[in-house]
Amino acid sequence: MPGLRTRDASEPSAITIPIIVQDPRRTPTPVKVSVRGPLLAGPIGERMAVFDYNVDRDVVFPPATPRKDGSFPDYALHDMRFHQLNTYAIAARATELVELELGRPLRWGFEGSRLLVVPHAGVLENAFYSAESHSLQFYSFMGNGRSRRAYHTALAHDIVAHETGHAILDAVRPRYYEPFEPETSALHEAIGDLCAIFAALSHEAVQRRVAGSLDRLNLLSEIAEGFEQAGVRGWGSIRSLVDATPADWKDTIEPHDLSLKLSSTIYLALRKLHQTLMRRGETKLDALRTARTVIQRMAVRALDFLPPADCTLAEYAEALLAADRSVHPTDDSGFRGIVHEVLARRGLVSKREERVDESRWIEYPPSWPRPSVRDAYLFLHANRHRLALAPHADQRDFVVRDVQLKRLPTSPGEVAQIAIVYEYPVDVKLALQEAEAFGDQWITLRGGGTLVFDALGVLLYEARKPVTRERVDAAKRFLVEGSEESFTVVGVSLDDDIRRAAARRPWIAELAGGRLALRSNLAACCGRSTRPRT
Amino acid sequence: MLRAIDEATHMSITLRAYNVLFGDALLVSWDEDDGTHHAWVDFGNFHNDPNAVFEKVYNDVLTRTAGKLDLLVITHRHLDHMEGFFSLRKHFKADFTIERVWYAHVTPSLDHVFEIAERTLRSMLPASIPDGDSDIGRVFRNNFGASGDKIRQQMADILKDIGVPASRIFKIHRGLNLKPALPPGLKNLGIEVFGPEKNSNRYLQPLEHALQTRGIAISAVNGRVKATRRDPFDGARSVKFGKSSLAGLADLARLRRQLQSGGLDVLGAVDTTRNNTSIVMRLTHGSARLLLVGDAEAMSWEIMRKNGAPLKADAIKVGHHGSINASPAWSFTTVMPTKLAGNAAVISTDDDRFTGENEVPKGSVLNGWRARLKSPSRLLRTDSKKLGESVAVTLEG
Repeated sequence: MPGLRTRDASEPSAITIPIIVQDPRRTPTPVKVSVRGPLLAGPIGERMAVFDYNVDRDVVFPPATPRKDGSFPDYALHDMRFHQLNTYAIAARATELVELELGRPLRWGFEGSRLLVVPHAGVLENAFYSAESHSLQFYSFMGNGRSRRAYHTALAHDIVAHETGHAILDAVRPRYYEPFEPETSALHEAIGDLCAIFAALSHEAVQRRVAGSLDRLNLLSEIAEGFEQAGVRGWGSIRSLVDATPADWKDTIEPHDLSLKLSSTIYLALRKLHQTLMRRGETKLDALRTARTVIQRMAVRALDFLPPADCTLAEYAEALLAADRSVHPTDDSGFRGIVHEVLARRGLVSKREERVDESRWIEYPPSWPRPSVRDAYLFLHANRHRLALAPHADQRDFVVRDVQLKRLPTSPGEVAQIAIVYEYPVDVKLALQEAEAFGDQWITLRGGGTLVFDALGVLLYEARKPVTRERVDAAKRFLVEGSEESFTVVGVSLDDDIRRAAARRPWIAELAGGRLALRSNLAACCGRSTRPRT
Repeated sequence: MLRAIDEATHMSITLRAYNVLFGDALLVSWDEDDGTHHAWVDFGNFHNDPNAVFEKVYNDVLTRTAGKLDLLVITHRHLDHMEGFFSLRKHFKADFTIERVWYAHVTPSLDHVFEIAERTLRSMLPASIPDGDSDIGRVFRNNFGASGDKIRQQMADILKDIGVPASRIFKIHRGLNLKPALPPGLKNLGIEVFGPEKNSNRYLQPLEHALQTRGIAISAVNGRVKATRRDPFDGARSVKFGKSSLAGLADLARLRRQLQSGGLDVLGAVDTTRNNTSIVMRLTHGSARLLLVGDAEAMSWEIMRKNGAPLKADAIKVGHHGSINASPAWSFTTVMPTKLAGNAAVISTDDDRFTGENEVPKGSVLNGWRARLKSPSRLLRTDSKKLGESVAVTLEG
């Protein structure tokens, strides 16, 4: 229309921002990166807004403010405005990276367009994502060492990317925030750590530092190196992906420990690919770049192949292979085979490749391959006997939770894949044994599935998640086993608000109206693992 | 052998625990050559629990002891162990003759730390909590006393008004020479003290850590504890939220509310620290041994273990009302290595007061002690009795 200026979405104005690419003590020299602009003072962008409020002092730190040309001044490392820009840029880049690999924009897992980023929320040894307040909260504390230096989690690249990973997974599968399966919370932590290593590997400075040392402690393998004064062999990290062994996740439901089962395996797959590529003649650095691209693509694309609720680590591993198979059916490069072997060795997938039923479904809507939510519902309704609705396939009500239209780099502008997520609730009364811990309560398990089609309507993958007797029993076992040490139980009083805010256990059990709901307590994250390490 | 009190014969020791709602009130009675002697250990309940029960218990103790107490013990400074003494303190002088008063030694600097913690908590908790009738408000007052009625002052008032000369009042800790602190004429009863430590700062670590994570560092300056706010934001330019341009944004209100909650860590650490200063003592009468642990929590138990304290006993007053934090897993078999018919465990508790993760008494604690008894009926709970009435176990020496 004449007189109206329209924005060219394909060419957003890039803003250059200096960030710390790992930890201020290990990589002290800021590196300039680009994020989508324009940005307002804060910085505030289209999807995220930095709100530098500090609860302990009830103050706001003045925001980083752009010049007239949209660029930001070069603030000193200790300046709060540097921290604001650093946090924003890391979180924004991690989100952009995931959107690029998924081939679609993300919609946050809460009602709101902007994720609030709070770089200096207060004094705590913690940082976390909170869906309730739409925020990433980063805290600071004084180190325990002789120097008693301040540690700002907002400056730790791994921590910022890890917490952004929680927000990203919550955007893709919001039900993972309320699991009745401990591995779902472990998946949240693993995605956070994978987000941290992929974000780190996007920096050439990090690539050069780690290309020759992937098989020992290095900047990449150590999550939040520097968080502790003295950690594993002096690295001070929260977790080590290269050092982890099955003993770290054996017999535990603690999400951070259990997450290592997946994150360390993906790291191992990265190493194997790297070695293979070097054997094929690539340089260390080129091999790392290729390996990173391959693994990152598989790991991120898997997100759209996940079931709607209570995902296990094995289901994620299956989705990872399926996501790759959907674009590389024959695995000519052999990359998937290498990853498959590593996943199988860790017991996350079976040794043979899964195949799906590729037969046609009925009543594709005319709007295909761009079905609306209503069209998708009618399509699934017509095919309800093929869905995970048993034993009430005809009567069971379900909702289409999401319709994701995915583009691939090889077909920009075209819809290459359509992921449809459907779900339904099943209410379960707690039996006597569980009632001992929680009283006479109901819980709600979520059934459903995820169907990924190609543009022609061929089913590429199906993640089925019916509510089976086994799932109900497992959920009840989880409640009984977790009630002693893993749950913070809250009701609806003011006391409970305080308990909820102070909760540091992995899950919050909310009791209201005769119903027990579990929530992942992501405030428990970024803490140190309590399991002894040697 | 364990028997009901009315069957008790010569040379026995009896532990009687009263139902005072959520709190401790214990009467220990033992035989000496000249008759039965008595020690009253703790008397209180949670703030806002009705105090009417105190009078009934007081009168029962008065009747049973004929007003003669060898010893009165306040294991630690929590209202649920001392509020009864405080509210009836002015009656004692007329009604009782008390040979000795014991209360827990606390390093003076610890009181300063508690003051710092209270100020911190008042700034962290919603204003309605400290004086309100919620669980957390009551825990707050159990630790600090009510507004204008400080627990430290209450302790001083008890000691001032109870009618015992200062020369017969003793601050008790492990390693203290007990000879002058023991009641005169004690021939058949042995008393050993395993806690608290003389240096109360040994119990301070959880509270120090809780404060430190809030940016408050504790240090000693010229013998006085000083709190310094040293946080990572020192020197940073800032604007008060209310005066900032963001103050009017409604969508930030929820975030701010969420951030402003908290404080439970600090309150929990204060509670733990006070509990760990409990007097822990073992009474030996003939071959019978009775362990009274106040509310000593895990850290205190660990210190006692490291000290090699002989914790073996035939009966125990279970710590901290049966909470999970006061009966370490190893304590069950350490106290009662053999499952004997005479073994007994007494719990002063009020069922359903705390549920969920803070359940009191904790099922696993009840099971742990029950597993050391020949018969489940040897686990006695005060809440099995009517208000003001008591359960009792008698051990024959």
